[in-house]
Amino acid sequence: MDSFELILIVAFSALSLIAAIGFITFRQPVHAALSFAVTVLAGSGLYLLLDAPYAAVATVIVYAGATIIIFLFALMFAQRSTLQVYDEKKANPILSGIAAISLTTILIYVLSTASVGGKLLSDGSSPVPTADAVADPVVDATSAPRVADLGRVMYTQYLWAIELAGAILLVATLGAIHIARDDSQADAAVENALP
Amino acid sequence: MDYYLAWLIPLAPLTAAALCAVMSLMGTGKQTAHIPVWIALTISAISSLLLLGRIDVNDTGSIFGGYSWLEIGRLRVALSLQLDAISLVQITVVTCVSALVAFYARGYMKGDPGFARFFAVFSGFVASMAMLVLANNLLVLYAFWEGVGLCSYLLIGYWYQRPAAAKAATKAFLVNRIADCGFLVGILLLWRVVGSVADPSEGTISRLDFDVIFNSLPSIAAQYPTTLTLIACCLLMGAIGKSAQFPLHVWLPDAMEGPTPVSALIHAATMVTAGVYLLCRMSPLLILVPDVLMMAGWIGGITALLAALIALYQHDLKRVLAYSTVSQLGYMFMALSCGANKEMMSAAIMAALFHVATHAFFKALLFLGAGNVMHAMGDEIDMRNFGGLRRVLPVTHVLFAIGAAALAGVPLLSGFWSKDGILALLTQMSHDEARGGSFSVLLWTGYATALLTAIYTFRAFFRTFYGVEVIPKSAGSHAHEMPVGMIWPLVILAFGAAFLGLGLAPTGLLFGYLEHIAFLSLLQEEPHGWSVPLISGCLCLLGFVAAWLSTRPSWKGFSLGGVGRPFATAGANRFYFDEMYAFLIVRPVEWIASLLAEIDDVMVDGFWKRITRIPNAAGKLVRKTQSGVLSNYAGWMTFGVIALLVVVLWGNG
Amino acid sequence: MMKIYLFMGALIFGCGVFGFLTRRNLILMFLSLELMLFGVSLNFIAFGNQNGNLGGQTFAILILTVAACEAALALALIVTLYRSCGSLDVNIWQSLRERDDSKSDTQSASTAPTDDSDHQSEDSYGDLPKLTPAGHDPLRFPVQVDSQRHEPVGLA
Repeated sequence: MDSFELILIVAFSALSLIAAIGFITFRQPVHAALSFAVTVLAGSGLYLLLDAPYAAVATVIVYAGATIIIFLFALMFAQRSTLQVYDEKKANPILSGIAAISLTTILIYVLSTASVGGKLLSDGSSPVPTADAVADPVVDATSAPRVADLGRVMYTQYLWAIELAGAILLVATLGAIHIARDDSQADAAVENALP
Repeated sequence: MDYYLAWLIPLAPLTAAALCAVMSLMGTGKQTAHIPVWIALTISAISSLLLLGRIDVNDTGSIFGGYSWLEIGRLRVALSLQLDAISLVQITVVTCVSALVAFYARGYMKGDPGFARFFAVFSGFVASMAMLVLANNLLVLYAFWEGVGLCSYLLIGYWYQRPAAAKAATKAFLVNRIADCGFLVGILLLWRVVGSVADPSEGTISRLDFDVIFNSLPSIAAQYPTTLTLIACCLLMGAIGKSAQFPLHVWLPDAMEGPTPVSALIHAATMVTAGVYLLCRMSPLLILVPDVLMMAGWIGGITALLAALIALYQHDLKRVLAYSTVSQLGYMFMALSCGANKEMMSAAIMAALFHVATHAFFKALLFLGAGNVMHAMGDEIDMRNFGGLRRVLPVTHVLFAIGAAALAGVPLLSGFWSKDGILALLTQMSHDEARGGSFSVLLWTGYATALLTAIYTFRAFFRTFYGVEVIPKSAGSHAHEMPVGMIWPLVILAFGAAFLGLGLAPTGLLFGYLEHIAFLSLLQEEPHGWSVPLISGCLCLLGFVAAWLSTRPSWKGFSLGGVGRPFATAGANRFYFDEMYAFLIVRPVEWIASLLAEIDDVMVDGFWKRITRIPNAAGKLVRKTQSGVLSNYAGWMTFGVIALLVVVLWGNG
Repeated sequence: MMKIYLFMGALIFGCGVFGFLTRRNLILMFLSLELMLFGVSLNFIAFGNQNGNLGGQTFAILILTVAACEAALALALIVTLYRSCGSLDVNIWQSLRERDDSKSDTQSASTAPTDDSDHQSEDSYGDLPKLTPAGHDPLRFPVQVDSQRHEPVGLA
């Protein structure tokens, strides 16, 4: 299935890249947001190809779903009907281009030539657990991990992290509510409510 | 016992000074500050009179070690007192006159807000002068030389809010500074020279003890004759400055801005004689360089004549007395120059010290009398504004007359004896020397000055107390005789002025006392002719007559009928010495100072200001990164990350 | 083949950087932040897959969580900023600017409420403390300062 896999990889990558470039080029904010969504969707395809089904689905739901919806709502709320001055032109395109391109180049270079323990990072050989890899006694090391295994690992090995993430979510929710509150009407309501 | 008496002389006034200084700082003592000073100065005077009798002054007298200040290895600094003939004579004069002037000053300065400060500095002055006279070490003498200079500055500028007084004080200090620089150079040279011939195991400062210096003089004279001459010239320079001789005489008339008791004590009786005292002290050194002594004599002669001429044309009574002081100091220098002949040095010292003593008494008397006049006339001292005061101030009139007569050399008063002593010495020197010619000239200068002295003294006397009675408006209700407290010191001074000469000279007391001065040849009895007293008596009479004539309305002043008028104007303007100094010295120095200030401001300060602009510019440059625009910040961050990555990845090659 | 995944992650990240640096619209700037995070999590998953590890996926999920929180808070802030100013331009908010004599280079037409800092010339440093002249009791004789040259005037 290699060739099919390769085609899929290339297709998803191309789509993702085109959409990313579209994101940075579109002038209309809504268009840019939508192409962001397409980027994420194509990226989720790549997740699937990397044997990470849960991550793929979660990304689609959260990123391309909830996050984009929030952004679109905010855009609707704050956006004027016509194209604004600040959307027309880019700020410092040349310098930013130089910065982005050089950063990307360095990253690509590092990713292609760096190696850990004698083995290149970008080596595409079949997944062989290294000496540091966690050995899950139940799972057979040669078969692809499944969502159940992911769940087990998340809630045993990375329990602290998951719980903290939950706490962050709670705090963020409360914080967002508090920050974005419109105080004048709320205070008036409280004033009237008290005897 | 003698030890304690000796140390009491400087320490009592010092304690009184400290006490009065504390009182002045605390703001009390406006009526009582004189009491510690009176007590201290009386103690000093009595001590010196007692010591006069008790100490055996043959040879080096007694040396009383005192406070040993430093003893570090070879450095040994000790304060000790030397009581020999010269210092005892001088200290007696100083303490007695100081005590009397202090008694007078209480009445004069009554009501002045700085009463305590006055007495503090007054007493400090007497303490410094006492230590100067009694010091056993040339460096210690120099230290207290500066001390009296400081007290003189503080007292001349006592009324410091008056600009004239402040300027006069600064002028006095600066002119003395010039002389003291020379003095210090002399001391340092002497130190070096004594060090190279003396025993190396001696402590360093004690190289300048007088006996050490004088003991090494023969070796120094053998090895460093030119240096010795240089040293003597430098010491002479110090004496010229302190004793206000030509050309450094300009500060003394201006010093009359101070209160009259200050003028009486410091600038007539005691401080200005410090120069003469220094030369007497260093006489064993000076006899080895007779040319320097001759120079001293010439300077003294020129000064005497010059000052007498200027005094003739002054209108201010105190200025007349100031120039008279300068002139009499010239006499003392002329007397000392007779030491050019080694054998005569003791006689020269006797003549000079005798004149110091008598001059102290009659000059202090004259100044205090002038103080009475000033007080009565409401601080007016210009003789053109008052006249005929003998009815208003009868007692002062009599006492002033005694002083004036003593100054002019009226026979049998003390000035007569001392001045004739000097003139007789000069006559003797003019006969028997290779330098006879110079001494003849000096002798005739002395006679001319004596005539002029008589003239200006009696002119001032007649102008003040005789003639039409004119009382200026500023006198107000003051125009009456002074209270007893301001009269009895003058009475005692008048006794001294009248009878001191009689008491010391014909009786041979002074002769016996100064017979055996250390390191000098024995004092010889000189033959007394009648020529000198006769001539000086005639000159005095001539002066009296001339002065009396000058009070006639027909007399037009001392200008010899129009011909000498420019000379008279020049004399009234003090022969333009101050203007000349201002032009030749003060202006160029001020110009240089402003130039240097400009250089300092532009180049030195400007240099640093220019350097401070560098961080400013750098800051302005860096400030541009803080634009407040978020995208710019993000851009800088990105570039920073890139740089960091580059360094980490490829930094180590 | 792994290379493709890694390079894709890097490229998406680069696009995110470019977007962040060039956009002036606040919301789109935050969206490009999200894009950067997405690229990074793609790399994590690729590494996790290569090592047979589930840590990569876990971390990607954590990134997801944090990104969501961040989006929520950021948008709340943006809404607040929009309310006080009526525009989404990021260049309005320049109150962290260093005082400078030249005008800002990317100022938009509408200005945000900035605090007034005193604008002075470069060489004068305002009211620096001055020493009283020597020997002068400052309580009895307060020193007047010459405003032009910033030096004490005479003696009071």
